[in-house]
Amino acid sequence: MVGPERPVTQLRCPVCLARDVDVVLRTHPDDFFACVKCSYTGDEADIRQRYADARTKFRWRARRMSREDLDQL
Amino acid sequence: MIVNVIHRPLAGRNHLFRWQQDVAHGLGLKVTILVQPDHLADPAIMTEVLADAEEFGDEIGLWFSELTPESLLPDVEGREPFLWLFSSHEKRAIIASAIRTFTDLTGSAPTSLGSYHLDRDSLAWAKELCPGLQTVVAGCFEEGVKVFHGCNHSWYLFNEGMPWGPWYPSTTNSLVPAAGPDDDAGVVAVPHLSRDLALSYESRNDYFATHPANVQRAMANEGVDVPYLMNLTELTALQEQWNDGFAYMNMFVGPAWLSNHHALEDADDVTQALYRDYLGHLVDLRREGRVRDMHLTEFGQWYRAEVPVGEPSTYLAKEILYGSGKHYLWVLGADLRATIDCFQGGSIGDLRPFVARQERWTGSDSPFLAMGSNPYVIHTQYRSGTAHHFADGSRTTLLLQHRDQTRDLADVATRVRAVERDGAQVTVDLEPVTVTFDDGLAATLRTTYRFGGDGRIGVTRHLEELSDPDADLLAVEYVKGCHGTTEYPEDMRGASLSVAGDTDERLSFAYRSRVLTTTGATSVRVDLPPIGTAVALEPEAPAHVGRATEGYLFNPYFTLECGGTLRRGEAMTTWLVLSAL
Repeated sequence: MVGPERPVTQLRCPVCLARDVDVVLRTHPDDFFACVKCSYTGDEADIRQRYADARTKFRWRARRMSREDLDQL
Repeated sequence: MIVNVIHRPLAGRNHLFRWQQDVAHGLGLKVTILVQPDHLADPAIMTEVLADAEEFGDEIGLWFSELTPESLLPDVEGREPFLWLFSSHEKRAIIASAIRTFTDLTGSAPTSLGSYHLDRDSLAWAKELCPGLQTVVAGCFEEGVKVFHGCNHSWYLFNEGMPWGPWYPSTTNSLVPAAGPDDDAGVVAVPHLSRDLALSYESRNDYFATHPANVQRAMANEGVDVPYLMNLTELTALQEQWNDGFAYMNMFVGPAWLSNHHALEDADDVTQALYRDYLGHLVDLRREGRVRDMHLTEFGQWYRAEVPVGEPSTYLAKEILYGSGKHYLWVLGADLRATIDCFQGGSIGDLRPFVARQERWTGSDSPFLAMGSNPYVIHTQYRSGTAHHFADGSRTTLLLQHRDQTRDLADVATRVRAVERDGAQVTVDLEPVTVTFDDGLAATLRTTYRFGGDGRIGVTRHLEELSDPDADLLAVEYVKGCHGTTEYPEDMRGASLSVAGDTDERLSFAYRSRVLTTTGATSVRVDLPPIGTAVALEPEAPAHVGRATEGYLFNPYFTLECGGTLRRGEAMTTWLVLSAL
């Protein structure tokens, strides 16, 4: 690995992300984040949970497909 | 499949570039390094780049993005970060200066260069100053409205309607394929990245590409597991079977993605592992004899030797991440680019006419400003497609009428059954679908498209089965559209609608909901002066009915229809004709 570790926790708004928009959350003290584009607020645990939920829309995200699989699809 | 791996340094954080280089060299991959004007002014970076070229044979070219004011000449007043946005004289000065410095430092003029968008004028000037220029990175496939939204309305790169793979740029518009040798700008162009052509159509394409960090940005990975990226690579390679044995991809990841990137939440070790593993995957494919890595210039020379100017391209996209398995079939020629949306019955979901050969370039003194996108006449994503709350939007379809019922073929999903290439002609055969009416009548139809390379698209509907051979079935081809490069309505005043047949009529578009009809229709047409293009439906035999409908402000489209009775075992061919005004 190369480069510095992430110096601050930098997270995108999970609500805006669900609309395919990248907006970096504003960080407040005490692990509290707020979005400038929408009214989402939450802590890192809530944000990470929403990220995990967002991934579930990709039903085939864990599915490795061969050339034959793709040819038949 | 041929692969280009491209790197570029990063002033101030060049250890990330060094790491990329070390990984690629360790795997024995051919690398092309594209240096920016600010790199040319940085002796440490240039020493490192030249050493890599000497030791590993890396090609060095130029990259005209992420421009810093300090690296530009004093007489360049603009503060744009990207080449395509400067005025003409500024673009020319930036290109000339960079080529001059590059030549001084490396001992020869570049034979490859690029930008996220290399407009017509920039390309012409670069070729004029570097006659040996072979390969350019000339656009980011389908970056435009959706990416603009996705970047919170702050990314001014509009490249929609361009080729997804290599092409010979036209002298009139770098994002359109050359019409022939006389129109050839003299280089081979490649897109920046190879995208997912299903999700590029439906969504942000900067989430779905042969770029591991882009896939992380979409959150389509689970830590270091990202089967989707391997599947997308495999799907890209699969295109060989529809393109004379040829497929292409590139991987061009800027170093900034590899640490502390604002759009990635994964830890840096995950991001870097994905990058390293993906290069390793390409090497595995090379070991299997399925991938050949090349430098950019080498690729341009190969392409020019192997692929004639004017050759069409096709891409059978299959949706492989959400799990819908949808098929989209893309066809690109010098005359048009079309996308067949099989989930909407095999209708045309995106149609970009190039027949008018309109000039297009970008910059602060261009009438197009930042808008490099090629206009469409149909776009179901930006203009609604099938109706969901009011009238339908821009699309094509076949309407089947029986007694008092109308069925819309766009409501029935199909898939691509076969794609055939014969010179400039591409034939696409879709799987048959069955449409059922309330009285039990079932009609099974198969659709065939023929793209002739001359702006004409033949649409043949084969009625393979009809449960009651004596039943009346009226089949009407339907095209609804409006020109545009964004999702907002355009001013349709100035457009004109006409029908030709037993009656010839014409009207000027004024949003008054008027309808022109004729029997014995030979042509139903709209003229769109802003894009210099006419769109017409022309039945192979005079159609029983022809109709042209003027829209209104809440439904701001033209609609063209023509058709007739279809009986079991018969086929009906209608030509969708794009022509220059």
